[in-house]
Amino acid sequence: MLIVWMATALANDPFEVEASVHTLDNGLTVVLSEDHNTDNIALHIHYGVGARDEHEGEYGCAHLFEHLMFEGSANVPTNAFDEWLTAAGGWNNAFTSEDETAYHETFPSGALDLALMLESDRMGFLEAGLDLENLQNQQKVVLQERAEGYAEPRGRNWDAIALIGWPEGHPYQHSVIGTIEDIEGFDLQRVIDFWKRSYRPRNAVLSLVGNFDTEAALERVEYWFSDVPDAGPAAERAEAVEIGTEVHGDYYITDRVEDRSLYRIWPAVPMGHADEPALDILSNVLSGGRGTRMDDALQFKKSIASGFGVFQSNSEIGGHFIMVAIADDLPLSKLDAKIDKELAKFAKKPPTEAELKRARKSVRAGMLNGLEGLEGRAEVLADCQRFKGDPNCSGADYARYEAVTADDVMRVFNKYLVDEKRITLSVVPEGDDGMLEGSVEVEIK
Amino acid sequence: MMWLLLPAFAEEPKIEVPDRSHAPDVLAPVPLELDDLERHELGEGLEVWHVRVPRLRKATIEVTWWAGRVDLSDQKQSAHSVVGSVWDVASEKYDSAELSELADVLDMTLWGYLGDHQMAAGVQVPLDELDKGLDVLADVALHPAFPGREIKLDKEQTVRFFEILGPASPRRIVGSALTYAWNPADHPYGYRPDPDAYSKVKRGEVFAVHEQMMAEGPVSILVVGDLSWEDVEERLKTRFGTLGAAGERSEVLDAPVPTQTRVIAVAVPDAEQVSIRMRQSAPARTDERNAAMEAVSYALGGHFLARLNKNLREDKGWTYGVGAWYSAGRKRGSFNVSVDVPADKFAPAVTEIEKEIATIAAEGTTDEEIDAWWRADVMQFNKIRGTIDDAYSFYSNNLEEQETVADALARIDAADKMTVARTAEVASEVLSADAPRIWVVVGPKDAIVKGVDALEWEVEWISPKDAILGRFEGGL
Repeated sequence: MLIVWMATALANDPFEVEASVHTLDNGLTVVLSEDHNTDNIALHIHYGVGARDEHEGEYGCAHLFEHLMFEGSANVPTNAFDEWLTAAGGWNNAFTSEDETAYHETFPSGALDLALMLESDRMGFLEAGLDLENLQNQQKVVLQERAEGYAEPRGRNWDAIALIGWPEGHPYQHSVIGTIEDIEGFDLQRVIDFWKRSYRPRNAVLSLVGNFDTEAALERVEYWFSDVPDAGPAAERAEAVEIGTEVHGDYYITDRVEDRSLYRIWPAVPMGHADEPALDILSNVLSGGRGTRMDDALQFKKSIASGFGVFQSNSEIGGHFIMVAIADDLPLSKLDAKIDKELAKFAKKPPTEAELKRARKSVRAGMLNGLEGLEGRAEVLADCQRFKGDPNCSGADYARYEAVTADDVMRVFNKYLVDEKRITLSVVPEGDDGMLEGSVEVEIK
Repeated sequence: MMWLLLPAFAEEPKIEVPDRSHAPDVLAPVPLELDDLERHELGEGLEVWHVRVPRLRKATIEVTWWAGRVDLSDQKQSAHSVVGSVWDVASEKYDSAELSELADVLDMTLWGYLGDHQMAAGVQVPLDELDKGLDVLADVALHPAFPGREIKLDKEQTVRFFEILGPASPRRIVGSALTYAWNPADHPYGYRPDPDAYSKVKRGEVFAVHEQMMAEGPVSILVVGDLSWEDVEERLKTRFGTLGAAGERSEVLDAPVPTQTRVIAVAVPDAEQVSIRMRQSAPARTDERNAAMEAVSYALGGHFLARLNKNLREDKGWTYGVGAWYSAGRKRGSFNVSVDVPADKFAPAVTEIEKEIATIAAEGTTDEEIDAWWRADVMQFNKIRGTIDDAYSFYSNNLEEQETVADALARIDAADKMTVARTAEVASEVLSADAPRIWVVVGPKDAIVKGVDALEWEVEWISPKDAILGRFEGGL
């Protein structure tokens, strides 16, 4: 086993967290960080598998698999994962994105062995616990999760954006929740194959934050994960498809809503890209609350839009820069023209130093607040370790934002927010014709 | 500093194979020590409640006037809502853009809150920005600006919710209908919003309500964070020293509980789901049955494998999740169930909910459920020192309920001593089959009609808009 101790300088740097990184013989990366302010421990395990790793015909498998991970493994009977952890006073949850599936538990420190046993068993020996009955039940639960989300206004917007925002063949060009047909069609062998492709120690980072002694905790991690087989690296992941102008276009969906929404989507950059900070600063300068350019122009000083927001959505192999505006009666073509007018104004007036400072501080606050609780810290440490090879990457990440200048912001504005690559999605009430002219309906399966 | 330890020269360690034949033993959690709020006085009797919670990066300071919505006449209710929305947006010193910018630059969260029995303004700020945070809080709390443009915006957004957003969302419809069904319209807790009156609120009325609340309510200041009393005493005196203590706290009112089972239905054309909500009366916070009811509620819906989730989600796959919870107010409490299911599963889901309630009413919880509930309680208690939000939430609740750390520990102790027999006794009283229940169901009309026929329910139909505005009788 390789142990790398990282002793960090804690003084006066709010981003720094004392943490150590260890690699087990089977390839599992472990991050440990003591916090004796409470008696609890947060465990976060990040697997490098998500919707991006699904092949055609198995859309939704990564997310369905997240559900199946709670259904039992070789030594943990059906429902025992939740039963045992709950009986210890703990709780758990999980999420799936395009790139990752993450599981987290918080529990009293006296349940550390139990949590490690549960996680190691499903990492190494899930197959023996999977059965058809559990699969069929979770297929129903996932279909119901999808239906409950779709039943609410705007519940389908993000799935529509996934379909129109990426070119044909791009690994992100389907929704994380999947299609009804694929979810219904999974058989046991297909999900077992999926698990074998990606669920393995070398494709995971386990982090623990809370009330433990590092040396003793590491000994328990080694004990419980020592028999999890090293299955080698995970299957090669699908790579990005270059985005040209082919995704450019105007689309619409109808929904059970009584207002109209307009999304403008521009292909942007993946996480960690050199332009990511400048694009984030740009989004904050345009729409960071009262006193910011477009929020004031469209909403707070004039009631043109009843809601407005700008943000960047980055994943591992791609990203979007997104604007959303909501209007009650205004045809979306008029709202679109107003947005163009404000963007033209911005093009002539770069952000001031005060605007940049506010945007940077806003980003900084978000990062620091994410490190405060045990659960958030465990997630940040695991993500940092996975993406940057350093659990304490937050400080260095923020330093990139400190370096952003007004010229950087204008450069990314001119580079990415271009009409030739712009995609729009109009969301209008059923029977309404207030979408952008010439829009094509998006079919969500 | 960084170094590597490579055990290459060490004797090959003996690999111990993990024993996976049973779940590992779990040690029982122990509640951590927690300090109580300490009462101090400033100036003319202004009370300040302070507690030091070590190692937190931020502190929370909140000023509360103990007068609220129930102390106002009907004519002032709309203006009261506007105060709650616009109070923290601007002050005499800072316009809305400046205040929003300052909050970002200082990493500060600022809030104004108006409830039934209190009005509060607070700030959460990093310790190294304490002075600036207190300056902003004092200015906003004592000298709000209520700009005309912000009042207009709030009125637009609120009326928009009543007219457009609310009636389009099944979850908002079902939640709103249940709230209004619980309270009679002529009771202060059952106030129904009036979009017309809301849109006519004048700026002068907003100032008047704020001033009335400030004049009528005795004041408390709460300070939570890694700050000593010496750190804050002068700072508070300078900014809030002129506030005095006067009058009595706004009283929690007696309120009726339902005397008959009621089913309220809202039709949503083309919907594929039915949203189901149930509420019934349950013991108040001070009732001796409170602890047992907490245990029962936890067993029914407090976690992923609680009985209702196990049945409806894990065994049948009818829902993404069931919520069931017990809410204990000072004078009355309620037990609630919330679930969304496919339209054809509406009546079967209600039948299963009733079946689970009947089972627990007959048999009580199990020992294992009681033990898990106690452990979860201890874990929640031990979270309090972990973040400023958890710490503030606990101490703010203590101040409102006039409770102490000892009260929280007594509840944990009561959980430790709870018995199955006691949970059965309380569940059979509270959740008996003939206890009046309010059911609200929202979904496609044909499926609801079919379901209520199967359940032999009599149903009252209301429109989505009436549900959002509470335009029907409540508290029957």
